[in-house]
Amino acid sequence: MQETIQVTLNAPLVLLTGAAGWLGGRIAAALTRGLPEVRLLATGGFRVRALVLPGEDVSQLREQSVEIVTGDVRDMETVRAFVAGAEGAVLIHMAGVIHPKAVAQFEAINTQGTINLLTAAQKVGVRRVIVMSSNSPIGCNPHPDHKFTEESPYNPYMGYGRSKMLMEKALRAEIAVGSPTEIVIVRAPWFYGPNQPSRQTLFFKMIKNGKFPIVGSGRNRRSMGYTDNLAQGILLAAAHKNAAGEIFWLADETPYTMNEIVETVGKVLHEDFGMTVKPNTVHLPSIVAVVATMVDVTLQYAGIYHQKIHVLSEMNKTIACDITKARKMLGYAPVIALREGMRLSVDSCLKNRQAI
Amino acid sequence: MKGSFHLSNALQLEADAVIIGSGGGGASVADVLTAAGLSVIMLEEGKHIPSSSASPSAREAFSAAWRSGGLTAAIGRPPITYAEGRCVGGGTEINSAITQRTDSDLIDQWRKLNKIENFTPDELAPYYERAETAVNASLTPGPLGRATDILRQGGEALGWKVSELKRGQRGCKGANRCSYVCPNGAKQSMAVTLLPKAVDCGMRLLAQTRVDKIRIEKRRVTEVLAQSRDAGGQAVPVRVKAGMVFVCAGAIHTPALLRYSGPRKRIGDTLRLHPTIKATALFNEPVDAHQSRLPLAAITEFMPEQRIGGSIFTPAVFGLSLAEDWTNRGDLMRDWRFCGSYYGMIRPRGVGSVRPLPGFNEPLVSFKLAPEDWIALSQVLTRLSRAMFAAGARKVFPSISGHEGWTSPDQVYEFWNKPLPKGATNLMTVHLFSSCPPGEHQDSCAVDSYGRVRSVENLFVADGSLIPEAPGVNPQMTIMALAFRVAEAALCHSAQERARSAARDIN
Repeated sequence: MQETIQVTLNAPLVLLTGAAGWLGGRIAAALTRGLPEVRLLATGGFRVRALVLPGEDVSQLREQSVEIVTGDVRDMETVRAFVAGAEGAVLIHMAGVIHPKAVAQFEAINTQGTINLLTAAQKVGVRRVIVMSSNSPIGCNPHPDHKFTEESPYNPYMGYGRSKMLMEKALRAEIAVGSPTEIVIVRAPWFYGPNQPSRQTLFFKMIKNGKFPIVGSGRNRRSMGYTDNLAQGILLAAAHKNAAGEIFWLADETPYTMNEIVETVGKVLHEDFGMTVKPNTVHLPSIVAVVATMVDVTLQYAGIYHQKIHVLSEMNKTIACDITKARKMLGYAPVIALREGMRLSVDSCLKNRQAI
Repeated sequence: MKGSFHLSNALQLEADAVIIGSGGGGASVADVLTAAGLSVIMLEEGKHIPSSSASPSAREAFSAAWRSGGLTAAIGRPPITYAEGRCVGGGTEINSAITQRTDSDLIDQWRKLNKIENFTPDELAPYYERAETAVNASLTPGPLGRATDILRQGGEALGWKVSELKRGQRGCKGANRCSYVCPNGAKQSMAVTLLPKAVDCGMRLLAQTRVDKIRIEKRRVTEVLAQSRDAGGQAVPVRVKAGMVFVCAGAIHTPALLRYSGPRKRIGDTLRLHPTIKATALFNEPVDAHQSRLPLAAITEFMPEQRIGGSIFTPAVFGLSLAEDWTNRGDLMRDWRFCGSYYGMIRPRGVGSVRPLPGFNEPLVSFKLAPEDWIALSQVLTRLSRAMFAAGARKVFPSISGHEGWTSPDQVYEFWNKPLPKGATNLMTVHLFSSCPPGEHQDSCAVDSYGRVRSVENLFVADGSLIPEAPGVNPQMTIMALAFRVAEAALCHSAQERARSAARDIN
């Protein structure tokens, strides 16, 4: 049995955006009651204040005695209210948009929203900001056996990637000029875990029905991040003295191949939950992804975002990262791997009455 | 060598096992198999060069012991020149015999990435110990000379970790000719250690015998087809039937031979190497590197990603290194006693491939550096040059054609934030591996956790091709450790078990 990972945050207050979201919710839980499932606990006697969008479900956060500010990162007024009196605080910025209604929202929320927050945070003397980025600014690996490091150059993948790249560049410019508020950038790839949004449940359904489209050989690799693993990395990035001004990749221990992901989910559904899983029959040639990419680029150029086409366009690509830097500098040690993580995800789907 | 013999006409041979290649991998397999009492035949493409006849002339030594008589280039931009041994003892006859283990953290990562069974650092430790004992891994006694001091002094002045390197030697006399076949037999290469031992146990070693093809029928190797030469230099076909076949021809020729013989999936798709950039440093005082041992310290501060060390130095090798850019560097030849040859090597992110070319002896090898590699190469060159100036260098010449060299430590940052010129940078390597990665992950692995080629029950890989990714250290100990492990596993798993596994492999 491994020991509990206790992360001590030296701050009177922790500010959290995206707190009602999928991963943000896990961070909120880790900060308040801890995540006993992965033996993660944040200590330090701080208060937690969350920024949530109007209309989001905040019952969980209320139960955890989190202070709630309602608003949007695009609105400077609410941003100022959110950071009011936050001298010496730690800000964990998880809010972002990945599947927007229109392409323009990418930059408004991901880029400008982050700049808004940082500006306000610097003004009130927030001590450290941890910003969630993504694999998308870096694009796809040039070879299935290549893994990105923190040194990999930008090569943004479409609208989302561009917005996160611009965000990172703005943050790195601040780091370069010696921002008094410390900045840490963390990048996570495709994540999975309990309380997933319904788009991920569709992924399970497709596998169960043998309809998951494996594009190309399926030997392309994907790094994935189990949400509680990521939560651990994010808290370590918030706490570790040497993290200031650094970028870290966070993910599960190793990347998985697409075949392995599909096979593992199939096994979980069948062996752990007794479902009948049809053998996967949808093997599409790589050209499908090429076409989808072309359609996606065209649509995004026209300002239209289509989730399914976008996801299909990425299917045959390798998006893999190396977490060595986080392991060495932060002591990051992901606890959950694919099989167990998928079992917990499916379990949570069923508990939340999402039919698979 | 006792046991090797010449051939007169077509030969049909039979043995329990045949080993293709006599380098660190092949010799280690032979050690295990002969100890278990198996009858073993080893086929080696190159000649046997006893230390008594090792030539001090670079040209003769290279053509005798090096594949293609010296350097070969992997296609890419820029091409990376590489060297391989081709003689009895393989790469261990021409390397510097440095004995480092792979970082435990990397071993853990590889195990998880490829799902390699029984592959923890602890489980590999006994195999490493066996390899170290076989070559008498030890610190070289006596004064190491100025060439080593330069690295130590430079690294320490900058506050970096510097480590003394153990290597396989017994009574090194400092000929600084490690890469020509040691004239004193002091370097504990395979030709003076495991090979004579195996031959004493009855192994038949056929030198100058090149394997053309491995015949596979119904998931089983039936025979190995080779060409040998008789005393008169006439080609003699050789056919060997054996219960088990171990391919130990190195990271280039192992995948080429396998692909040519049938198995292809994931074979030769993941060649890795250590891209290395050299620099020549000119000092005020004589270095006289040719009279001392090769630099036996390395700057290990940035390991496993980057390492800074020193190269083998003789006037001829030095001249060859200057020949890359003779117009700008030729003058240094006059000052050769004042020069040292040092390098920075990186663990690359880029990947290469090996493909046999029908009708050619040498396969097509390509390697593409990834963007991260260019950043790392710039960094390591800068660091290397800083260390040289910190050790008192007067001038440092990076191995970039047309570069004028640096005369002061502030100039070395030229490439810190800027990529090296792709067309003019001369990169080389003597470390090649990873072209047949092992593991249970069938999507990514060419062979199983114990080196058995997928879908074939009695064909194994046991050489540098098995190292899952670039190890960041000299690979000989890892090659030997993995080869011992493959050979032991092959003995432990019954033929029936292996046949069952081969039938289960996905084609």
